[in-house]
Amino acid sequence: MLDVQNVSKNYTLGKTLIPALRGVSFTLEQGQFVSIMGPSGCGKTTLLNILGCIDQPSDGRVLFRGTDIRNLTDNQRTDTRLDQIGFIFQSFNLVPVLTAAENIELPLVLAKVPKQQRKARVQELVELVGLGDFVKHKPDELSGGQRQRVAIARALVNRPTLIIADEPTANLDSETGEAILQAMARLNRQEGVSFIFSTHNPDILQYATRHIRLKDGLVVEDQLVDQVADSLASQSSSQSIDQNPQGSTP
Amino acid sequence: MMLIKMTLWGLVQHPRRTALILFSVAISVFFMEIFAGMGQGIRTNFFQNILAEGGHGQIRGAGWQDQYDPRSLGSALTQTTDLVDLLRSQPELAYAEPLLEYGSVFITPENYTIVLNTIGVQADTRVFPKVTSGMVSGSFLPTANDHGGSGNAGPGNTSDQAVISRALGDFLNLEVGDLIRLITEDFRGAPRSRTFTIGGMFSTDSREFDTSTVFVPLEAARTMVRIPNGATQIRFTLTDRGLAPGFTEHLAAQVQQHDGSIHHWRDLNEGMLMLVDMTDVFIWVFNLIMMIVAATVITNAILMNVFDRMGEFGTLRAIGMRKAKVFGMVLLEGSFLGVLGSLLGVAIGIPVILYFQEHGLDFGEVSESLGMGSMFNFGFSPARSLADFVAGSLTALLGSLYAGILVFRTSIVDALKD
Ligand SMILES: Nc1ncnc2c1ncn2[C@@H]1O[C@H](COP(=O)(O)OP(=O)(O)OP(=O)(O)O)[C@@H](O)[C@H]1O
Ligand SMILES: [Mg+2]
Repeated sequence: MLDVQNVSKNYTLGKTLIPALRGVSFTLEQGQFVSIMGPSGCGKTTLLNILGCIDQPSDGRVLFRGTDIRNLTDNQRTDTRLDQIGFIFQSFNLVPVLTAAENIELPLVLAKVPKQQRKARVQELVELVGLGDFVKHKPDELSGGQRQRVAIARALVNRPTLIIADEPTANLDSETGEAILQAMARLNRQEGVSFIFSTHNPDILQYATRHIRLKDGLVVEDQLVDQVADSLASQSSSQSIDQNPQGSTP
Repeated sequence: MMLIKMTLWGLVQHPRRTALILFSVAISVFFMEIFAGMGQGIRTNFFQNILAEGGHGQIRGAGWQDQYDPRSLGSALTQTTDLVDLLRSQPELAYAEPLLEYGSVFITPENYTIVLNTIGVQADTRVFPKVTSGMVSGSFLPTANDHGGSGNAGPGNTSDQAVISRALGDFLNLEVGDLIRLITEDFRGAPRSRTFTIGGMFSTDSREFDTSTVFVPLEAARTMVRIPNGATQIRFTLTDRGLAPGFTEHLAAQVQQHDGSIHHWRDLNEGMLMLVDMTDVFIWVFNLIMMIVAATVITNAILMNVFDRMGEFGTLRAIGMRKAKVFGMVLLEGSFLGVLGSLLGVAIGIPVILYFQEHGLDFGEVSESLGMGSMFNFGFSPARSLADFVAGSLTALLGSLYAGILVFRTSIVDALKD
């Protein structure tokens, strides 16, 4: 569904050219749960931004379901993001003036979904991510873990085919971070959504079904994980998804 | 719906930011209001004070303007009745009245002396409304039916009355009923003296005028200077002051035949008019500067707000809000604040203007020396207030347009970095 062909990205800082990506290629299949690892500055964020259609490669092509995203207009790319792609950010990026429920509802509003359906879908997702009674709270009244759950629900609400998460657990303690990853893994299995996340934390790698390692703007490792690790992930996820992780309880 | 809620909720959630923008818009509009009110006031003041007293035009003696001493009787009119009749035969005329003005030495019973400007006027004069309506004791000159008329009584009779100001009365220790003596030169330069009774005292808002003027009956003045049927000027008003230039041009030749020269108010108040026009230009320039400063401050406040929320805009665009919609949100917020702030500015400005319109602002010597009186009333004009409201709203709109373009131009990646 996502075809990355020899993508490179250069930044210019003054007169110096900084190559952030230097020819990255891989193909992402529907339903994969991909981790992107690599040292700081290796180009993880740059790559995810390009995959998420919020940035353009300097060279190479990205085909999203067969369409070269370079050939789309700004509005078409925006609509692609709205309908097909969900984002989960390191610092959650919720709209501060809206409640948790309204934050989840926002993409539905942008997609002009009728109100009745919106309410039902929001309720569905609130249950799915285990947000409970916190739907009426504003983001600043929620813990980090709860905020990231809201963000996951928002990313999922329009039934995207791909969710992009740039260091989704970096602002969370390790326990909450794992719970978030477990939630993502479960949604990946239940809803068949493809996930691609970057991380520095080796502990959460176990949830991914495919590991891509970047170094200096190049893919240095790309491997599918065997079934053992996969089942391990599913086990632990079913245990702890419904009990609120520490920090999420009021 | 949710977008509007997001915009307006944002304003409530960030009261300090909102207050800052509202305040900068309101204060700018307020000052534009006040200065416009002042400008309007200067104009109104000019037409009320200067034109009410000076009339729409005057007939003076021929060669009056070339005279070395403006109070010299050398060029006094001697055919006043003919000239007044000539004026009154014109359909545009509303009112005409002769005055005889000269300098005289004023001597009190305690032998204080002071040189005063003596004005001979008709008892029913309409030229000095501030005086006739500002009597604080006694009454203005008696009309013919009140008394037996002036000068008719036998010698030694004190029926000729004079009117001075309260300020002068206090200064010279005079009361209504006291006798005073005026000494002057007649038109040939021979000394003439005449006794008057203080009939009343007035008070206007111009101390300079009050302490330099004495009013006497026109006939008594004529007798004193021995110019029967004389006047130093005939002031007139027309049905519309705009007619004055044509009117004077039309009559110029006929007036000249009676040894007079006719002038309209623009001629007579050239200096003042220039001052009024200059004030207008000054206020205009001031308002322009005000607008520029206001635009800078308002735009700055809106920009601060937008930069503050750049990350939010980046998020919104990343999750699928179109550029145009984000732009619209910025614009909506800016124009909402602009309209609200401008309303606030006008709402604060109007009562202040109305207060100074009612009570006046004391400008003291500055405006008094210009012959406007020290009290200076603002003028309120709904059209001006509306213009200021629109100007404030537009400025905020322009500011948010600029902010919106900045947001529009920022890439999502850059916006998300904030
Ligand atoms: N806007 C930019 N201008 C110039 N250089 C940039 C810009 N953004 C990123 N870079 C550079 O590109 C390279 C890759 O950056 P990127 O943010 O993708 O790394 P990363 O793998 O996400 O790092 P981290 O793990 O620290 O988040 C870095 O060398 C970085 O300095
Ligand atoms: Mg990064």
